[in-house]
This record gives sequence, structure tokens and C-alpha cells, in this order.
Amino acid sequence: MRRILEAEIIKAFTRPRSYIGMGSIIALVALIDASFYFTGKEYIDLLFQNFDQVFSLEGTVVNGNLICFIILQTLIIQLPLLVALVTGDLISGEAAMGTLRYSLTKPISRFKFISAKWITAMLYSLGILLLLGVFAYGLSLVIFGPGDLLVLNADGLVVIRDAELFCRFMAAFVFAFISLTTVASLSLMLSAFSNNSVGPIVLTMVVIIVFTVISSFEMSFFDPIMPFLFTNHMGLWRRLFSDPIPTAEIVQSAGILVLHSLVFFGITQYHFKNKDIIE
Amino acid sequence: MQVKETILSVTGLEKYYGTFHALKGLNLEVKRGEIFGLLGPNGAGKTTMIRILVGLIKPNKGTVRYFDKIDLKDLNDALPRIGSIIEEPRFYPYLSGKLNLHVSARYYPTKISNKRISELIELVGLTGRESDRVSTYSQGMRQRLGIAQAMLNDPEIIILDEPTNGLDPKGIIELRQLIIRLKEEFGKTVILSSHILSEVEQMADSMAIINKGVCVSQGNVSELLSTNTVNVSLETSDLPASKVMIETMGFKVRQEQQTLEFQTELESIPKVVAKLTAADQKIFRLDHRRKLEDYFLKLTAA
Repeated sequence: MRRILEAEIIKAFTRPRSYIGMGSIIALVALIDASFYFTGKEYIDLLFQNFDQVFSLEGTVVNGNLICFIILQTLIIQLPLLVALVTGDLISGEAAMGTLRYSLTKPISRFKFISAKWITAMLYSLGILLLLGVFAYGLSLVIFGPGDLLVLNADGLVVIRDAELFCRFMAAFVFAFISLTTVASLSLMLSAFSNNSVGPIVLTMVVIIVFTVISSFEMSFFDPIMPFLFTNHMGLWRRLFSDPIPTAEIVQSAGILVLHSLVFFGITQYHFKNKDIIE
Repeated sequence: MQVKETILSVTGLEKYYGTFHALKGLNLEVKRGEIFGLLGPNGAGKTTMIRILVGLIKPNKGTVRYFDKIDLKDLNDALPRIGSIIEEPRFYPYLSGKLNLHVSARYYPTKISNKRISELIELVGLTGRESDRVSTYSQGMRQRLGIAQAMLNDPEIIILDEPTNGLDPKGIIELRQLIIRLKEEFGKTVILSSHILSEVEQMADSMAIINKGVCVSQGNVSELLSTNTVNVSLETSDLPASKVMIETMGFKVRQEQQTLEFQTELESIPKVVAKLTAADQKIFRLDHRRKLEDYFLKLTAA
């Protein structure tokens, strides 16, 4: 299995396409950091203008933690799309290229082949997140320095002490990883059903967009399907910046996302085991 | 006389694609150390059968047995001893030829050494180009890299599906020489599918003709081709008179518009010609084709 995984990793990580997502993240983080560096104060003034009459803010509001939080909020929607760009192509891309039939004429079980693909998809998701972590958290802290985080959420304005933030950000990255693995598993599953490169990527994006749009409608008509929309659970990382943290709710959502990943993985395995490779 | 071991036997193989019956109870037997030609027109079922042989497709019925003991359900036990090129070889275009081989090598249970990969690169004549991206390779170079890929595990059987497709004449000759070398120098059993009779004729020891999902003929190529019986097509100045003369020699003659058609042994043709010229019959045209060619042409036309 280790050798198959090595082969999959070489294939995935030497492909130019794999670096589109990574390049986009670096570029976006750099742009956001630059914009805050030069015009951050205006943005914060605008954001907190309604609170001017209620209390006054002391210290550095624009700090590395705030920038990281804003970057996470901004990119967390796009990250799954960047992941799908690679993971949605892992099987169907090979089918389209004609290399799938060569891999499968080697003495490996299809279960191991798909498992290696799945682990590769997870590793790619992890790579994307690590990159985001280094740039969004690390670089922002280097440029803007540490400080308490002001978060405006449904409960109002929450101030989180700098000392607590490292753990909360790490937990947020872990949660984001779980979310991304769900998207990666979905796109890999769609990839197993397709023989062309673009279809599964587009379909994954459509699923995420449609689910997210439906989730945003707070209408009772959609209530019966809400629990089945995994995108509902993907946004729960923000609750890690509530006070107190609703641990049970977050763990439940993480569990649901993991369950989705396993179901997608199971469907992929079942379908691929019985698939005739005719392309 | 040495009896060769059966290295592959296929019995009653059937495959449906929806309602299309692609293979209709195919039977084959391949002996060790031979080049076995699988001949048939496009769409005859050759690729379907080959894909079943390497586990890409599951048959609906029938058995495939390798090395007299391994069935399809245990195919992974046989695959380390089999190399294949299914249709035109495909590689990761963004990787070098050498790295493509290294990636393929990782799918085998035993480690394939760098030395082995270098040897194969040399064998297929890609030394000096192995570090270039495959996207820069010609079709012939890809085909040869495909052979190297199929040889990675030093297999006993090499399955090649239409290996000369898309190659220029020089590429075809090079590949043909390489395939013959695999058999003669390395003792490999080669199963070679093609829709070109001359290709199989020049390389194969045994062959099977497949048409519409069934094996219509199988045997030793030299036996099949050495038969002296030929179909003669003749055009003379007086067809009815010539027909009577040839019939008196004991041949069954059929008159087709401007020609006479009959079957005879190759050695009898000069006698027929002598008899006709002695009777002042002018011979405008005389063609003969071997039965197998006619047979195959009939199949491909169907």
C-alpha cells in the first residue's frame, strides 16, 4: 500500500494543476495582508462605527489574529473549490488521459488503488490547509503582531484573549480539514463515476454552491433536507470563536462531516470495484 | 516432439455491454514461448477480450486460466507475471519517461530496481531521452516506452493490443523487431492483437481469428498459411470455352461476369495456363489468393 501511495503522491504533486490552488491561496493572503497593511484602519473604523457610542476600543484592533480570522472567513468558502479542482480529477482525469487502464493492469487491488487516491486527496487538502495556516496565521502574525481578537457574531461582539487564540485557530484548522475531506471525498466519488476531467469538478462546485444557497434560506420549506446538507456543518468552525465554545454542537457537526466522508468513500469503493474500464 | 505448456486458456467467454453481445462464448489456448496473434476486424471483440484478460472488464460468463492454475478471481496472483499495452500506451505527459516507469514500478509487489529501469530504457532505445517529458515523445517513442513499461516486472506473458496503431512504417518495423526479440531473446510469450493479417503473419507462431465475438479459426500460422490451396481468378478471351477446359481438368469453376473463379493447388496453375494457351485461349489476367486471405477478407467485409 505504501508504494501505491507513493505513486499516487508523485502523480498528484507533480501535476501543474495541483499548484493552482496553492498559488491562489498565497496570492490572496498576500493581497489581503497588503490591503490591511495600507488601509486596515479605515476598514476597522467602518466595521465598528455602530459601536462608537457604546464603548471605546483600546489597543491594536488590527492585529495578526484578526487578519487571520478575516482571511479564514473569506477563503473558507473558496477552499473546497480549490481542493475539488485537484481531487475531482484524480480518477476521471486518469480515465480521460487513458492512464487508468495502465494502473489497473498492475497487480493491485482496486480497493487499495482507491484508498491510495483517497489518502492522496486528504494529503492535498492538508497541504492546502497547512499553506493557509502558514500564510494566513503565521505571516499575518509576523506582519501585524499578536493581539486580542474582536469577533462580531450572532451573539454580539466577543473579545477573545490573545493567549487563547492559538488553540482556537488550531481547532478551526482541524475543523476546516474535516470539512475539506468531506468535499474531497465527494469530488473523488463523482470522479469515479465520470470519464472526463471537468465534469466531477464542476459538479462538486455546483453541489457546494446549491447546498450553500439553500442553507442560507431560513425557510421551513427546506427544514426536512437541512440535516442532509453537509455544507450546513462546514461553517461551524466560526463557533470556535464564540464564548463559551459550543463543544457538543461542533463535535456533532464534525462527526456528521466525517460520516459523509465515509459514505462517499464507501460509494466510491463499491462503484469502482464493479466498474468496467472501457475508455 | 516437445509439447508446449498451455500458458493461457480461455473457455466460453461471454460479455454483454447492455444488450450488445460483444463476446459470444470465445475459446482460445496460448502456448508458452510463442507469439500468438489475435486477428479480427475492428469491433470483432479483440480489445474486449484483452481487457478481460488483464482484469479491466469483468466477463458475464466463461473462464480464463493463466499458467494452468490461476483463474480471473485470483488475477492479482497472475498479474505480476503479465505485462500489457492496451491500445495505444498512455503516460503522464508532465513526467519524464523514466519517472513514468518509476511510477508504474511502484504498483508491483516487489521492488523494481533503478538498474532494471535503465536496462529497459536501453532495450527499447530511449537512452538519452529518458529524462525528457513524455509530452515531447513521438508516437513511436511512446510505443517503445509502453513496451518498457510492460516489461518492468520481467513478465512471462506480454499482451499487446494493436501495438502498431498510429506508427509510421519505420516505427512499425522497429516495433516488430522488438516484439520478435522479446520472444527469441527473452523467451516471452507474446499475445498480439491486430486487424492486419500481414502483421500477424510476419510475427506470430499461432493465431486465432475472431469475428463478431466468436473465434472462427485457430491454429499454427505456418500451417494455416502454408496450405497450397489458392483461389484463382482468371480472365480469358473466351470464358465459356475456358470454363469447359478447366472443368475437364477436374476443377469446379464458377463464372462471375468477366472472370472465372476456381480453387486449386498452387502447383496446378502452370498446368491450367499451359492447357489454355495450347488451345489458343488468351489470358488477360490471372490472380490467386490464399484461402486464409480470402477467409479474412470475407470476415472483414462482413
